[in-house]
Amino acid sequence: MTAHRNFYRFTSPLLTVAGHDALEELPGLLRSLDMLHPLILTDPGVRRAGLMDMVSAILKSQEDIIGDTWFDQIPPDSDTDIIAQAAQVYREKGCTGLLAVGGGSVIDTTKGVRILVSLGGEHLRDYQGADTISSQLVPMAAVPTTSGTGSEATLVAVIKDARNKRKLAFTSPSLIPSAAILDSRMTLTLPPAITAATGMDALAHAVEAYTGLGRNPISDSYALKAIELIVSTLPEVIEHPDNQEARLQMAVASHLAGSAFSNSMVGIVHTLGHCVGARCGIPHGICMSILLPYGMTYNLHRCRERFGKLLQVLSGKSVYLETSEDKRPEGAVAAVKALASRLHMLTDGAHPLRLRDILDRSGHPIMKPQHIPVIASDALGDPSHLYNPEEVSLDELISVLRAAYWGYPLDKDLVKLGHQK
Amino acid sequence: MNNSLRYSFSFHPGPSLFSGYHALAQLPYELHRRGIRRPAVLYRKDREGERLVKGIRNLSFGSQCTPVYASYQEPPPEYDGVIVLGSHGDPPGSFHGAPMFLILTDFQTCREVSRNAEGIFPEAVFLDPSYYAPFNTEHTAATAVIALTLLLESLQDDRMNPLSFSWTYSGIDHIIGSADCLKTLEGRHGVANAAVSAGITASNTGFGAVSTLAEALAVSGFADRAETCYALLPYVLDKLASQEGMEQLNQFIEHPVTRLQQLLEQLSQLGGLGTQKQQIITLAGCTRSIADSPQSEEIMQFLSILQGVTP
Repeated sequence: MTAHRNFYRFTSPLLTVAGHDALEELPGLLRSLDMLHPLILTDPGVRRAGLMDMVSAILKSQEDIIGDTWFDQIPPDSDTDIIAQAAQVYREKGCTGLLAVGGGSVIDTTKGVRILVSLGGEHLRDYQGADTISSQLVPMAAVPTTSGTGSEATLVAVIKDARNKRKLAFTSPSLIPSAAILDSRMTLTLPPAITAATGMDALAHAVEAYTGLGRNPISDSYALKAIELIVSTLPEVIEHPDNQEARLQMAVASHLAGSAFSNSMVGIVHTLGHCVGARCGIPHGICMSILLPYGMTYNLHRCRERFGKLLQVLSGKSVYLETSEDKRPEGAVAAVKALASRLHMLTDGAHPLRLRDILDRSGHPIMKPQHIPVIASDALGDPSHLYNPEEVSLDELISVLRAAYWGYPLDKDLVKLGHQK
Repeated sequence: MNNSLRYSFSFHPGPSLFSGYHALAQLPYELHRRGIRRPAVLYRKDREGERLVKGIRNLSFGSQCTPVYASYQEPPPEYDGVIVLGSHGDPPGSFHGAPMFLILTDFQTCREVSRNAEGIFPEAVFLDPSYYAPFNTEHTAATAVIALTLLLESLQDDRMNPLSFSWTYSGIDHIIGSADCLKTLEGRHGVANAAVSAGITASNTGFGAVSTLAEALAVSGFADRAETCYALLPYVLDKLASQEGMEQLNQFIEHPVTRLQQLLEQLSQLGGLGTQKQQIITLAGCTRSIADSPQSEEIMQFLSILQGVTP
């Protein structure tokens, strides 16, 4: 590496507490953040899994903390109406901060509530966009219950507008939570297929952070460490879901990857994944897992050295050293494919490898071939491709989607800009 | 499975880091984002200080923000944020809890970006090569050796964790990337980035025996900080070779022990280090002055080993 003279910025001002019993630190953390009366946000699934009982038990014994003000009806696809309701509860109860316990949807919803209760107003859409939030927000702590989105570490929130069903994106360093608690107990009950999909989401964050145009030396370092932890841990977590050590490592890896992409942004894999998810309702992590090797192949020629370096953390040092320098980039793509295939096997096929293999309840593919051009067109309007190392066009996005849909190798001759040079 | 997390950890990366040319252009937005309207710009009122502060005066802060310029020793009576221009070796004080922004111009201890006496990090740190104080290769090499010491010692600490490791690796990578161009501003900037990484890492994992000893010897005037680090770092490397921290580094750097030994020698030559080596080892007797240090037991043990192996 040469000294990095170009301007970069790395922001990650949150306190991270991690451990097998990190949740025990919650009362002290709330005190240090002046959050003696938090509004606790979660979803019915987290409640059913019994995770909130743990939080309740810890807060119940604290005389100076009011720990029973809840908003627990956040749906998987939360929207601005839900946020307005939660903000109303916050104001009525006189809360002094926000505690999110859940996955990406819960944490992003909480970020939306944080904007409304801090800045006032009824319409969250007034604050959408980049860097429109220019003041300090009320304190917020997050306890993630999945290891994938990394939302507890990011400056991003994506929230559906209830009025027109569009996704609203908010980015500001002020949105990064004040603190995150990573406790291995919080992900122990995650089913294997969700564990696999969310884990691959974290991998996609790290790979795109490392290879994207917005990368910087610190995000690089976070991304590499995240990838190393994910590949050494994710299959183990699927095979032995009770392995708390592995669960903690995945939580930390997801956190690192979240912080990495929060500072460097993402690329074509997320561009397409956002749009496949929005059009067809396919879970984000599954989209990421399927699209990641195709996105890597598309970008390979733009930064072969970087993709080559990824082989070192994806496959280990001995494989890296045994592989000739010119073969390492393709080796990195093969390693990602191999990991996805292993997860497919370990989940008895529940972790799909092609977009056409994601089926509805009647056994038909959720995504149809005719969706491909529509999704590609949607993707051109998604700003995340601005940070992709290679430019994209409609034809190229269609080529990548077709390959990922049918599961055949990306035909580089059909990709005008992304061809091997 | 590697990288076992045998323990719980907490980590605070501290300030936002703005690095590179034109980094200071971000300062007005960072003030605006925090609602700061009357920041105190504290600087040394000498010729160099006046030169540097000119750049701040030229920034466009907008109509709602009016900076007040004052000397570091005499801050104005009223301010809602503090911009410290320059380097003081230690992290600046808390200034009554006002958000602090550091524009670093030099590195003497690599503790400039660490928690201050009140345990507070600055809000943001700016590394803009246009603002660096005049430097020479020896000084840059010395900074690199001090930073390397903090970084390698963080790998030995029980509090090492994946987040601290990421900062450590980034810092080491910066030094490796800068070693061949230390005479240039680019090299200086790479080492400056490493120094920030070192301060942030060490604030989370703790300062090790060598850096603590180097601090004590430097403060008491017995020995130069970089000389102490250079004299004692080989022993850290020896010990580290069999520890988990080096195992992790091995995943990212080829032949890390050899590479780091070569790096240390390269830096010592560029920095003209090594003249005080024997003196430093002889200074074992001064350990009484650091007997109250939290690391004192380790330092005593360390020095007794040194005395044993030194002819």
